[in-house]
Amino acid sequence: MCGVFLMQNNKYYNEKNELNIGLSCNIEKNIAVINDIFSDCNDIVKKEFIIERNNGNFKIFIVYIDGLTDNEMVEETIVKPITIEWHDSNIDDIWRQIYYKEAQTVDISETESFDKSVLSILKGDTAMYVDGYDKAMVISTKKLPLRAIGNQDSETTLRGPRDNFNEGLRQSTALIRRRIRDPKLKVYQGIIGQRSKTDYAIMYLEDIVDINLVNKIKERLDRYDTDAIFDSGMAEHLLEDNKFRLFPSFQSTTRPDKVASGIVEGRVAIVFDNSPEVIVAPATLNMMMQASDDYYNGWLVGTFARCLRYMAAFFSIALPGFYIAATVFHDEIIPEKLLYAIASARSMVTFSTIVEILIMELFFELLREAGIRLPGPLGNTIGIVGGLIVGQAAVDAGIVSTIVVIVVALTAISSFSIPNEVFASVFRLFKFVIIASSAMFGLYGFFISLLCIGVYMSGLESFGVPFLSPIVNNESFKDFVIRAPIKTLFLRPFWVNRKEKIRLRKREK
Amino acid sequence: MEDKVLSRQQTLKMCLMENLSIGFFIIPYVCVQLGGKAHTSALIAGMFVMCAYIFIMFIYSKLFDGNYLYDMKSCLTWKAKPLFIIYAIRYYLKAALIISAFCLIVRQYGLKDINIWWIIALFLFVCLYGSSRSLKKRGQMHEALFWWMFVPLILAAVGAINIIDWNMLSNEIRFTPINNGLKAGIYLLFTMSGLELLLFGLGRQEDNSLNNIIKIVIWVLFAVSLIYLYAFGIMGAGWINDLGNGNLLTQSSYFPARLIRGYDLFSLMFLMAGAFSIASAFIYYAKEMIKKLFRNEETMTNIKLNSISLVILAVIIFLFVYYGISSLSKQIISIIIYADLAFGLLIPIIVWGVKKYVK
Repeated sequence: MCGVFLMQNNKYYNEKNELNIGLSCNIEKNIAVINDIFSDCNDIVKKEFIIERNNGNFKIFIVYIDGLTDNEMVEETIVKPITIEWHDSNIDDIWRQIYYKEAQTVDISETESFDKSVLSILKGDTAMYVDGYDKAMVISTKKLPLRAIGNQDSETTLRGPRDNFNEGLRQSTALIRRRIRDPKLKVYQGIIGQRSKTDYAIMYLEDIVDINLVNKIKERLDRYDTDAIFDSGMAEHLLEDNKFRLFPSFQSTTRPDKVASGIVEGRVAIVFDNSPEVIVAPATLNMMMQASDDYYNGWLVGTFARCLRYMAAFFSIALPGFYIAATVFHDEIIPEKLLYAIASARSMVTFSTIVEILIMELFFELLREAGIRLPGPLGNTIGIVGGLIVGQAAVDAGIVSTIVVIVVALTAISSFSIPNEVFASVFRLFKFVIIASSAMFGLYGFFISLLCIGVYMSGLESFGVPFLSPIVNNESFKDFVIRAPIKTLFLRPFWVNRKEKIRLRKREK
Repeated sequence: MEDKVLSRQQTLKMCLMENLSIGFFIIPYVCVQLGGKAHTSALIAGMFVMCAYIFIMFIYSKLFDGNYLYDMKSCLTWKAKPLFIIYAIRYYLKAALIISAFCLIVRQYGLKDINIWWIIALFLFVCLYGSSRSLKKRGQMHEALFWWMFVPLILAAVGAINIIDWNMLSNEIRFTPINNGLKAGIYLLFTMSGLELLLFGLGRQEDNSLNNIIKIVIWVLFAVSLIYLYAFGIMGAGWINDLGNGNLLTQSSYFPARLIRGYDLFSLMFLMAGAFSIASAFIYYAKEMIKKLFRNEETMTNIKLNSISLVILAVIIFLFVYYGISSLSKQIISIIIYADLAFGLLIPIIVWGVKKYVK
C-alpha cells in the first residue's frame, strides 16, 4: 500500500505565525522554501522559467493559487511578454528590465519580505522570484470568487439606492469611494487574524474626523492576536471595551449610502474582507433607529417614521410585561369593557397569563429562528403555518387567549420595525427581563426594570460618545426623534474635528 | 485633583433631581409630623430658611472650586477620618429613609399582597446599582431620567393649584404662634439638606463660573416652588388630619397619588426615578466617604463598597420599617435634625478655613 505521510512543517514560522526567514539571492533556496511551505497544497500553481536573452539566460519562478487568480492575466501580462515578446533583447539588470519594461501591468510591486510575498500569493496575487535577487515581485492578479453586488434584502427602503456590500473588501471600499469623491477620504489597510489574515480597511475623512478616534480604533485592532476573523461581527466584539456590553458599540450595515453618510458625519468605517457588513463608529441609539429614507423623504414624513420607530421600540420591549402587570396585578387601570373582553377571552384558557405570554413569546422566537434558517420560500411558509394555523389552533385548544396572541403579534411587528437587527435582538432579550419582573412585582417591577435599562443605557459609550446622545449630553436634538429639514442641519455632530463643524452654508452670490 | 467631568446641564439636572425628590418625599412628612398644627406656617417659614440655606450652599460650592472630599482629606489629614464616618452615617440614614418611605408607599398603593421586604430588596439593589456608577455616568443618568420625573411633577403642581383652599390656609396661619411655625420651618431645612451634595457636584463641573451657579440657583428655587405648590395643595385640601401614625401619614400625604386621580399608580411609578436618584446619590457619597477612610483608596473596590453599603442600609431600613420612625420621640428627632444641619453648615466652613490656613 502506498501510504501518504503528512509532516508538520513549522520550522519557518514564529509564534505569531509569520515566516521568520528572508528571501535569498539564490533562487534555488527560495524555490525550496516555497515547495516546503506549500507542500500538500494541491491548489498551488508554480513554475520555473528559463528566460533566454541575447547576452545570457536567467531563471525565474512564478507562484499563484488556482481559483483565486486570473490565470489568463498571468499568461498575458507576465509569462508571454517575458518569455516570448522580449526574447531577443539584451539585458543588463534583469530585475529593472522586467519590472519597468516587460511586465504588462500597472499593479506590480516589489517586496523584500518572504512573509509578504507568501501572503500576497494567499490573497490571490502572483509572486515572481528572480535568480540573483533577494526580493520578489508581486503582481496583482486576483480573481476572487465573489457574488455580485445585489439588491438590498436586509435594510430595504422605498426610496434611495438599492446596492449593498458584498464580501469583497475592494468592492466595498469602491462603493464608498464612489459616493465620496474626495482625496481626503483615507483608506488605511491592515491585516487581522494569524490564520485567516483577513484584510480590513479603516475609512475616514481626514479633515472631519477626530483623529483620536482613528488612533483608538487602530490601537484596538492591534490589541489582540487571534486565529481568525470571518466577519465584522467577530471583530466588533474584539474591539469593544467591555466584554459584557449588551448593546453594540458599532453600527453595522450593508448599505453603502449609510456608511458614506456616517463618514461624512465624522465617523470611522471599518470594512472587513469576507464580510458584507461594514461597521461604523461611534454608534448611538439614534443611529440604530435611523433608516436611510428618513433623509430621502420630506422632514415631516421622516419625523413621523422615526416617531413610529421609537414607539415600536418601546412596544417591542414593554408590551408583554405591561400586559402581565396590568391584568394580573392592577386590573383597576384597565377600562371596564376591555377588562370584560379579556376575562371572556381567558375564560377557556388553562394556563395563567404569565405562562400564556411565555408560551407565545417562546413560540414566536422559535418561528423566527426557524424562518431564518430555512431557505426563502420555505421560511415564508413557516411564518404562515406557525403564525396563522398553529396560533389559531392554540387559541381553539385553550392554550392561549386571543388577546395574548394580539399582544405577542404586536410586539413582534414592533420589534421588526427597528432598523438595526443587532440592536433589536438585545431589545428582544430585555423583553424577557421585563416580563419576569412584571410577573413578580406588577407595575412596580415593570417600571423598575425599565429604570434599570435606562440607567444601564445612560452609562454606555461608544468610543467616548455617549450611547444615549443627545439625551444625556445635551447636544442638538435636530436630528433625533424629530428629523429637522435638511436646510436647518447646519452643523455636523459634536464628535467631529472642532474646526470642521459646519456642514451646510449658503453660497454667497 | 480629579478631572472636571460634568457639564453644566448635567450638574443642573443632578442638583434638581436630587433636591426635588428629597423634597417630594420628606417635606409633607416633616411638615406635618414635626410641625403639627403649625404645618402651614412651617411651610412659609421653611421657604425663607430654605432660600437662605440654598444661598449658603452655593457660596460654599464656590469656595470649594475643586473636590470637596479631596480638600477635606488633604487639609484635615487624620482628623478627617471621624468626619468621613459621620458623613457616611448621615448619608446612609437619609438614603435608608428615602428607600423605606418610597417602598411603603408603593406597597400601600399598588402591591398590598407582596411582602414589603421583597419590594425593599429590589429597590435597594437598584439604588446600589445606580450608586456604583462614576460621577460622569451619574451625570448622564440624571440627564436621561430628568424628564421622566419632572413632567409628572409639573402635572401634579398644575393639579394642586385647583384644589388649594386659600381660606383654610390663611386661617391656619393666623391662629398659629409664630415661634411654632419658625421652629417647624427649621425642621424643613432637613428636607433640603440634599443640597449639600452640590458641594461635590459643582466642584466637578466643567464651567464653574458665577453665572452658571446663579442659573442653577434660579432653577433650584423654581423647583422648590413647585414642591411648595404641592405641599400647599395638600394642606389646602385638608387631607392631612391624622397626625398620629407617621408611616400612614407619609403615605397619605403622598400628594400626586391623590392629585392625579385615576393615574395615581402611574405617577407613583414615575416618581420612582426621583426616589432612585436621591437614594443612589446619598449612597454614592456615603461610599466615597468610606473610600476616603483608607490610605489606598483603590483597595476599596466597588464590590466591597456595595457589600458594606448593603449591610448598613439593610440594618437601618429594617429598623425604620419594622419599628417605624414614628416610634422615636420628637425630642430625639429634633436632636438628629439639628445635629445634621450643624454638620452640613459648619464642617465645610471649618474645612475651608483650614484649607486657607494651610495655604
